[in-house]
Amino acid sequence: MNPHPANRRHGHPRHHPVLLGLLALGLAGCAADGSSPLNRLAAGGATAASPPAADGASAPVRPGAGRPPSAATSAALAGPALKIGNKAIDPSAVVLDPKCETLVEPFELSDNFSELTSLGLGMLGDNAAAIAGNSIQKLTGQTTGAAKPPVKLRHNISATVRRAAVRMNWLPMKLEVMYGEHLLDDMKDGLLPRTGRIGPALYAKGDALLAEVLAAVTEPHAYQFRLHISTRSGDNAMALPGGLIVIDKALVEKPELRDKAYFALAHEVAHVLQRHETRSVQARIVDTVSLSNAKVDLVKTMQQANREPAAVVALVLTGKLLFEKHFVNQELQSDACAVRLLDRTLADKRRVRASIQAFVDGLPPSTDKPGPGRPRPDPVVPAGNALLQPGTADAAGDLVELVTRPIDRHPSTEARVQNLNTMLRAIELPPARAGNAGSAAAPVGAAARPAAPRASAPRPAAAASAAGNRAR
Amino acid sequence: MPLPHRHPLLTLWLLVAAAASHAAPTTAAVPCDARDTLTKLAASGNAGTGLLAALTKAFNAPKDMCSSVQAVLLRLANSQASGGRKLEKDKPFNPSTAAAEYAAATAQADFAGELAALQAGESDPVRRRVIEAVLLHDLGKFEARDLVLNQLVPR
Repeated sequence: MNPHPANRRHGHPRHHPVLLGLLALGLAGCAADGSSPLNRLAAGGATAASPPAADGASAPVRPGAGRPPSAATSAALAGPALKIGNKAIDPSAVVLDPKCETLVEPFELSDNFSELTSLGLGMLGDNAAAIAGNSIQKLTGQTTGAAKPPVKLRHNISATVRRAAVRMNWLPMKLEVMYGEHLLDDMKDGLLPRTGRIGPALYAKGDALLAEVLAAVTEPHAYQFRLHISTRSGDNAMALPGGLIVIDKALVEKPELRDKAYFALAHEVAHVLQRHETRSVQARIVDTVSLSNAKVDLVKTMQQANREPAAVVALVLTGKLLFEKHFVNQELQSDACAVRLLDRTLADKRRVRASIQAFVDGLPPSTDKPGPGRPRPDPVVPAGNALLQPGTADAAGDLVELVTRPIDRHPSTEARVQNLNTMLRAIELPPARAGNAGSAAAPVGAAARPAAPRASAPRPAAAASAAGNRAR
Repeated sequence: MPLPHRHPLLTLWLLVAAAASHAAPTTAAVPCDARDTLTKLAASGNAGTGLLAALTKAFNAPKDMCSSVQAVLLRLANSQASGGRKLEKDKPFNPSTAAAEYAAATAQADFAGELAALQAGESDPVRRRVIEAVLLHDLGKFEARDLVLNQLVPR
């Protein structure tokens, strides 16, 4: 299938105008019905239980004030900071659960706010009296009790709470569904109708496959998944926000692609359950603001351009690289979630492995080094902004590559295979069975290369035989 | 429950009619409204003025196939919505796979007859090829469809 320029998003982060509009509408809607985030935070307590999930599953347990922070919040607090000049920024665009320990991202606004409120109340602690005293002093113009230094009331949200806040998903579910529906409407001419000559039979197959994968999602969630079959001539799949899955006809129709179809559906379901698309947009909005606030440090660094030109380039590209890495890490996280989901869906470990291997077989061949016609491996974007070290020999070439390539791009084959093997070990080699690793526990391998095999992605005979090692 | 007794010829006719109605749309051809799609195609810049001129006149097809007409014209525009998370980067078009699918599809017994019916009255070679692509699309032969369309608008 032909790649299209529309899929090659260059340069700046993409803030879909419709989403931004919907975001405004959604927040306005929340405010109108009294459920504004600020109202809830001001109320200082957990909100009432949300309605049950749309799929009829029981409602999740809501975290409430006074309870210890959840694993998600703890992870949010532990994430890396980004250094811009002398300023440390807590980026929003980070993946905090790369091994997909939690399959379903908290999906209700009330979940995240009550979680944050709980954290905030705990943090407030000792400062509360000082803040209260300061308020009284301002109101009365008199000091009360012992003299205390005035508390700055620019805002009273601690850095810890702010860090958690920028890493949570605040977009209301209603807004996410509207966003997905809008994107789907844009591509409706490329979707197979459920009627017609081939629609009914194909949708019956596709719906059954999706239902099989979803049956393994036992956690409560807010989605009513809907499958659409694409009229593209490929074997790809796509997730849209709000539970919309688009899959190419071949994956549904061809029995020889059944293993890959399982992986594709599990991967796309994971994107939805992790709320990746809306999380990504939100992170880009938040981080763009954060990076703008660091412009003083940006200017300072640029004043040293003669001494450290590469550092300046790296700094200017910080935002782009941050978003790029976030996208890549979300893909890897979806791969990880897919492995966990398939482990639940397919009873036989060998089928899980075969499904993963079928996906790996379709990836571009691995490359040891970039060259003509071979993609450059993903750069390692560190927590800081030192991607391009001063004196790097290939800095100019790197710069062209970094500036012109799209932000939204997939991880390298090497990164995906390595990640999948890590996940395979996570599900197949628990301590209790460490000594019982059969062929199903062997790592998956990338496509065979004429050159010497890479150490990071071995393809043992067991893997090849278990997966059928399709001819390419 | 026993089936009601029917004349053998009537039964045969019913079977043939049912098979035909399942195999292909049998409703009368109607002009398919594709103005919006043509506007997108013109805006895309992918179609030259000659191709656009050939496509301006409405295509006649059974009503059930009008969505296929729209889809094929949009495909010519190579219009692809952004957004969403794909499993992997789309693979490039594979001409040999498409040629095999095209050969298999056109070798089907019903294909030639249905194509001839759809192309009846069309002498413009471009429009005849588009109609062939529409039929391939309707049959779900998407790679074969793209093979035909790529000959109209090389990519």
